[in-house]
Amino acid sequence: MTDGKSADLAAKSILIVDGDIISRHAIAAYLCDCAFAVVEAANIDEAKIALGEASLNIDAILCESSALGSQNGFKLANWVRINRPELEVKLAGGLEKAAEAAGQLCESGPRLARPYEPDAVVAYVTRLRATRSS
Amino acid sequence: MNLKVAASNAPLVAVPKCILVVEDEPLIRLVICDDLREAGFDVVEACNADEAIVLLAALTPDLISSDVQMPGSIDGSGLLAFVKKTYPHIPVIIASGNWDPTAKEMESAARILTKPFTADALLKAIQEELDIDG
Repeated sequence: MTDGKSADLAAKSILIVDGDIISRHAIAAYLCDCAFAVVEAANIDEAKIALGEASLNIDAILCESSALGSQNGFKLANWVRINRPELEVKLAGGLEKAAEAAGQLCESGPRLARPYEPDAVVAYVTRLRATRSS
Repeated sequence: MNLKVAASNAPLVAVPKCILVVEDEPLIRLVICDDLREAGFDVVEACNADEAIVLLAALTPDLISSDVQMPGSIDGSGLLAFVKKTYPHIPVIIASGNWDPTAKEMESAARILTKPFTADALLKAIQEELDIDG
């Protein structure tokens, strides 16, 4: 789900908000491959701290809301709308949606190293989780 | 705060080593991770020891840099003990502002950096632990 403007921004710095460390790590790594500077936040409070740091120059936010609680995702979107209305917030419910949103960012990002395949991110996360549980 | 992407800078290491940074203060974590990426390291970040343990089940960093006082089910001391027991080959650099380590913790930690420390001090400690020429 996309909240706000179109996805064709040429963002340089992305704030990822995701309470699941495995998926956050995977999506952050992929966005780094696309030459984005990535700022990670594990929860809304950390996201607000990062957004309040003027020197960070965050261009867009990708929030995977399922691990945060959907209400928290909407709360963050509303907070951004009020406090940083220039920022696009991509609210994604679930890993697959977050991977798709990251793909859209990569398509319009600084460097598309290779065709972005959201499925590859999902597969990577699945593999990491399987490693963890084995 | 500089958020340059690592790829845009000349790396200090030919084959990137992976550093797991465990720090609950998001802006401190951001600065540390940014500096390490600029130095050419692959950086994985966790906002507390619980997240670090989840990541360690799936990834094998070359070194861990961890704060001590963090929220969660265990703190940095607990993480240090866990790593020494489970992944004894991974060196752990402890960075703390107010920590009174036991003799065992002194022995377990590869290095202990007292906050506030400079980015150069952490980078130098990591390079020495990993036997990398700066």
